[in-house]
Amino acid sequence: MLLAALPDTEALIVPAEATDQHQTTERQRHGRPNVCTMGAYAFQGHRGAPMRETQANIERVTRLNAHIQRLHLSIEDSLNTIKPGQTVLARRFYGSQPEQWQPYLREHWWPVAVTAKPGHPSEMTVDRPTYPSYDPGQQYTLLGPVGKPFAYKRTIRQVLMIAHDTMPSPLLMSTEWLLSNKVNTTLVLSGKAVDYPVSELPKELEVIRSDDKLQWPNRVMTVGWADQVFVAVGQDDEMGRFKEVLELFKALRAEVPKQYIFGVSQLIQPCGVGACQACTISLQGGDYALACLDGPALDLTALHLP
Amino acid sequence: MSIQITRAGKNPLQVDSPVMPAAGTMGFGDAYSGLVKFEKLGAFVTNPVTYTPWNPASGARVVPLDSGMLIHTGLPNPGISKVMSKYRDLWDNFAMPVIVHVVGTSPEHVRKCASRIDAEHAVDALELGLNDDIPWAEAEQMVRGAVGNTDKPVLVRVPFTDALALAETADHAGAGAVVVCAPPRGSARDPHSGRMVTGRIYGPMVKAMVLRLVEQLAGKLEAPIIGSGGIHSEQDARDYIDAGARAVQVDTLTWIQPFMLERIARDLGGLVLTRPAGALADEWFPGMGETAKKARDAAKNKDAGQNPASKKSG
Repeated sequence: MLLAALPDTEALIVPAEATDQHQTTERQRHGRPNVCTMGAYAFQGHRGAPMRETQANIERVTRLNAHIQRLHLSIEDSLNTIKPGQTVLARRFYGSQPEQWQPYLREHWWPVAVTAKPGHPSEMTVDRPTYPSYDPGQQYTLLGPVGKPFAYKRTIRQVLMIAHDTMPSPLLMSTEWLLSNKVNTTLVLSGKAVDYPVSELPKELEVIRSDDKLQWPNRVMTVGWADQVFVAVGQDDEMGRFKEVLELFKALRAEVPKQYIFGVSQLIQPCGVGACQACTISLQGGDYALACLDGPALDLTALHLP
Repeated sequence: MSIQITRAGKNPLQVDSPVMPAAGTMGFGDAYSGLVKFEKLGAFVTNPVTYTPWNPASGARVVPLDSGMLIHTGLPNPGISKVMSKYRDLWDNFAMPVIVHVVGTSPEHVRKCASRIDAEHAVDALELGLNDDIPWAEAEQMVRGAVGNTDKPVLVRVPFTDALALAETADHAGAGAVVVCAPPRGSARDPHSGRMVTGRIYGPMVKAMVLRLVEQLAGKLEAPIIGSGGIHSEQDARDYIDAGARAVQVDTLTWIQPFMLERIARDLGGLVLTRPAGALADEWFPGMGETAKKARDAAKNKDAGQNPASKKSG
């Protein structure tokens, strides 16, 4: 197994981009441990591309259900290096037509999959709500990659992912990579997430449907065996919901160590580069993190939750 | 091309292009490296800084609006000392002047910030941001405090509310330039939480409102005017120059279309190579050249001669 040979149980696997793109000082500020990069790219010494603006075409649009549509985009090869957890900020490209300012903000797209076949254009798959509508042939400009890839423990065997009252899309890109590395992965769909069509998920992925209050059969066992947990929640009160999940894990486990449970923040990111500070999240001890630079996955035990 | 964007004094601020980012839109200098060619900008204006560290606002902070947005961040920053120690070396390497935006929290803090900036060779000017509800007397005290504690030019960004009166107050108090203005404030309901959020409004629609203020202030102030609000194209920026602004600040357009900031800076910096051979400046960009300025000045003089009260009433 790719990860098993690494002896340091506490070390994390995190992205190369963070160092290149956002300067070491950001990480030093939060006292992050020394890290190595994630995945096949990482172990070949690959350093991901810095953020840039690229173009994409919508090739196909498929309806997954009444609420979700899936966009299949051809993207520039430079965006192939995007890793699970990283996102793009998308905006319609009008070319020679007059610019339109509605919608104004760039849309925050969470890739579900990125494929690159020799001789073919690279493809990115993105899940979006059914409104607004998208059409094949539309061109978009993408700013990305935004943020850091998810950080996994080197010795990880079991990963638990929870989508609570939100689409599980922010979590899905990593599932294929985890499964291909023989990491047992379980996805809990809760609340509004239970409608997500499981036929679109990898067959090896264990999917559990929970009720609105995050109750599911054998919950204690599921929580107990997980080496790491990634949680995406509804955006009505993201921090409040993160707190609710953290409290649940504190009640179900003897200990919730650092770098164990991560909240995947879906806060609106107007700029994606740390300039606007709209995605600032308070940390314990008075410091703060930016979801666009330090996230989107943030250690819930380090956050200052309400 | 060199443009003096502050009034004459010990250290007037000269820029190569009359285009710069607005405070709060480009971070402290490292955020947009690789996406925007900084050397094409006239100056770099930092995110707002306070004397002591400020924490972020809690709850929802961004509400999408029709063709715009509302944002309330709480201006989180680690305080002027940490900002200086962290970014000093970066700013030293910038080709263009660096303007540190100081939040006008209290006269005492503004004075301390001005003294701190005065000692920083990496910083070329201070931009003082006045609060929306600041009394005139306190605004004057703050501006005088800043001007009195640094030899560097002090730009004053006035709030949208009461912009005309505060611009004149800042001008009288010795502001090197007046930035017109901070984005207007508004309230909107966050679609996710259903809560009401109050913050600053950005978008193309702001330009029409601020442009009117610039028109009203043009010719009234001794200090040059820097127009800021809703610029989303080269023509928007030229409209401000036409209205009497010496330079412009581009705000959230940088977040939406980062390359546009550089494009506007190139355009107004005279780097767009589409000028027909032999054409005069004002034939190339109507309104930028002397002809339009002379026509405007002549119209103003005529108005003033016919009706002396009309200039004051705007």
